[in-house]
Amino acid sequence: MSCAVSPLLAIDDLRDLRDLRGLSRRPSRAARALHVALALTLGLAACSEHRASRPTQSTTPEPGARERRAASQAVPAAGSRNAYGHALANLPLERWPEVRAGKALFSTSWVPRGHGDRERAERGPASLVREGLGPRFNATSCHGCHFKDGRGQPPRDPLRPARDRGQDEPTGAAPVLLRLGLIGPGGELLPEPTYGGQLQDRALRGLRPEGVLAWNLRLVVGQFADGTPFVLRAPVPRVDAPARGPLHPETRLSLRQPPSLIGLGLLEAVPAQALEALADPQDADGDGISGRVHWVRDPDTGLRVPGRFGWKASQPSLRLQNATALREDLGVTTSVFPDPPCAPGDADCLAVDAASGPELTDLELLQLTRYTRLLMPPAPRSGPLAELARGEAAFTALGCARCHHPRLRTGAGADLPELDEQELEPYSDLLLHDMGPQLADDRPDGDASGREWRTAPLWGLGLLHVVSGEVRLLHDGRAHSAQEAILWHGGEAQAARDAFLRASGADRAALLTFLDSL
Amino acid sequence: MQPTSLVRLAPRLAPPAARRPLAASRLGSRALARSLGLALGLGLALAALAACHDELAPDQEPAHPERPAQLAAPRCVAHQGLTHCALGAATLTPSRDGASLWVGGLGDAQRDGVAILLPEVTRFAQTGDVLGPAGSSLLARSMSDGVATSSLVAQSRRGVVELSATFTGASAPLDYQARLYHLGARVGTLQLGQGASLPIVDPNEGEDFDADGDSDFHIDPAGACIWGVALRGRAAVRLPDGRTVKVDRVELAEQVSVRGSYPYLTFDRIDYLSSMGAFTLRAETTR
Repeated sequence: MSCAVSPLLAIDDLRDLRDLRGLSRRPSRAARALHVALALTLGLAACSEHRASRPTQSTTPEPGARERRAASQAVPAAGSRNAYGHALANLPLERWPEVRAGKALFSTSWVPRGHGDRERAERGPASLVREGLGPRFNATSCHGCHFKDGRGQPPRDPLRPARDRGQDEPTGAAPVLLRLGLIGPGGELLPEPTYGGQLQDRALRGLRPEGVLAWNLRLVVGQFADGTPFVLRAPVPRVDAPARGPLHPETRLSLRQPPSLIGLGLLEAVPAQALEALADPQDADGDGISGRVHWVRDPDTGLRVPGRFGWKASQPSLRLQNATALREDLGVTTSVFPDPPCAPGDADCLAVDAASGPELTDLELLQLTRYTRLLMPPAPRSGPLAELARGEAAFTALGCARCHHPRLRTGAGADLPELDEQELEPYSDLLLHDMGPQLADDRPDGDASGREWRTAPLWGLGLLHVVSGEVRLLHDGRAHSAQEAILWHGGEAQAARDAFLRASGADRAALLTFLDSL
Repeated sequence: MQPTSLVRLAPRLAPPAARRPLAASRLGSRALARSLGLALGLGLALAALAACHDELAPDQEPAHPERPAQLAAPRCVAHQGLTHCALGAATLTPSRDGASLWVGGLGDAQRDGVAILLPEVTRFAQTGDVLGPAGSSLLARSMSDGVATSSLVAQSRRGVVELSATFTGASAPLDYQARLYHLGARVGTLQLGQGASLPIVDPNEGEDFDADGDSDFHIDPAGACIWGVALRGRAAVRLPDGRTVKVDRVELAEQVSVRGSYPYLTFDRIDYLSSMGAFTLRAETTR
């Protein structure tokens, strides 16, 4: 399906992209007219993409389809908003209480010290409330950004009047963070001197939030080889009302949306050797792909290990990923990070009475981490076989599979037997790849450059809109469909993106159908 | 955060409209509602549809699958310290002493009823007369974070009330248990498959069957969802072996299989929808 070309778009060849930069808060009348035209066209494009990519789904797997399915995976209820939150299918019954204990911590609402009793009384007798929020934070619970283990906020029940709580009320906007940093003399990433490594845009009463996260939109227009136009949008972040003066003029800003939490334990259990086998940092095979392992130091062991988690694969383990998020996003301390996220010189933050010990015990961190390790990725869903086969063939032919590696296998000897020797279909090699200038945030992280990103797993992609209420892809959520995400690919993926642009409408639609079935 | 952009990266939800005063039902008194309730049996709501079961194909699922119809202007009242909101064509009339809430205008068991907004709880119980006459249906559903966790369906026919339940915690349809009690003692346990129902009958096999009762729902420490119906009046269940046992309480209990299960911890809303015309809610407790 293609859209009628708006006369205002004046479609050019893709090699001559127009970059409409700098939309301000108060656009001119001409710009507003253009905005309306572009928005209408975007709506048509989005509508056509949506219909082209939505396969007919049945709840019963067709015979012979998708036979390669790990014991850890089962077919969740089709269309279920719980699709990301099921425990591994091979979990023994005796481990169920651990899952529930971890889920309880994941769902816990963190409140300021001294407010626990009042919040429990207000929220209900079974509410999960803990003291220890802040002093600075971005959210008040894991659940608040990873609703239903996805990447959205809890929806507001229209029957409930809005509570003026100031801290915990879902706004309906997708959660997103702003990472900060400066490039040091050796090319290393340094925290912004006043605000640290992340903007905490919420704070306890009595403290000013560090700033207000805002962004303009950068639009990119182009067309497929068959003349079908498209418009892409990328947020250009900024910080309004910085609380302690302006940011350093060379601060690198990087928007980060929360990732989905499915299958993380399985990914953690893939042996390092398997990732090394997929890597080709010098592009020895000449295919244009030079994925590499992001080697990081595991502070728990002191060993150099592959980074796996985070948009730039900076974290070697789920334990560290969770401990970092607890501190940076909620202000909750653990023995891993016993100090609150106060930037040096943030006297107000440092003056807030600190807890006498970690706000989350080691056992609780273990339970929370175990919960995130035991979430099951949804199995691929069935659909029109011919279309899926054509789409899967296109996925390979266009080069997608060179980075979105279809299959991995976990190793043996995991501390959780459920993770042992499982065949996975994550569609990721967990490696860093140069994705080109359009996706670059110019903010290196460890050994990852400002242009490199870890290959995002694609499992569960087709259920993202059900779980999280919308589709937001790539590190800053700029892509509202798989097609948009593909069109943003560059660098090592330039060839694959160009092949997608040249592909027929039918092949593109089949590819999107295949992706929607994952 | 304040996106100042041509296109918001995410739409903001509209705030709920201001409350409107309740309209008094034309169906009148409690006595009329009660006489309806004395007729035989209950009609079953089709609980497995979208309202009580979240296993919908994506193209059938609205953007907010648990959102009842006609939410432009919520009609809500307080009863027993809890907010009750009318759903569909229902109307709510609290008694002057606050002891009861009359829910009228109930013609469609998939649309008309009352939503009881709860704090985060693991147990809810109500006394009332939500079981209706022959030909009527009751659908009760529990919800957590906007997702139906479980539902209870009661369908009345002449001489029998069919009870059934659905549970959404499993990744695949599973059997559940019907636990039968009389005078505090367990008198029977039945395995029911998804879609199967438990017939409640008159122990004297009369067709003028007045089954009514209170209902409750809780999530037990193992995470199983359990519906309870405390039956008033004569009631019995025919067992597979042919015996008929008297019952005064029935529980429909999820069996947690773990394999691919979803760990519900609490719930925050209970809906009662019915086609019986009207029913009355009385005492309500939570934990």
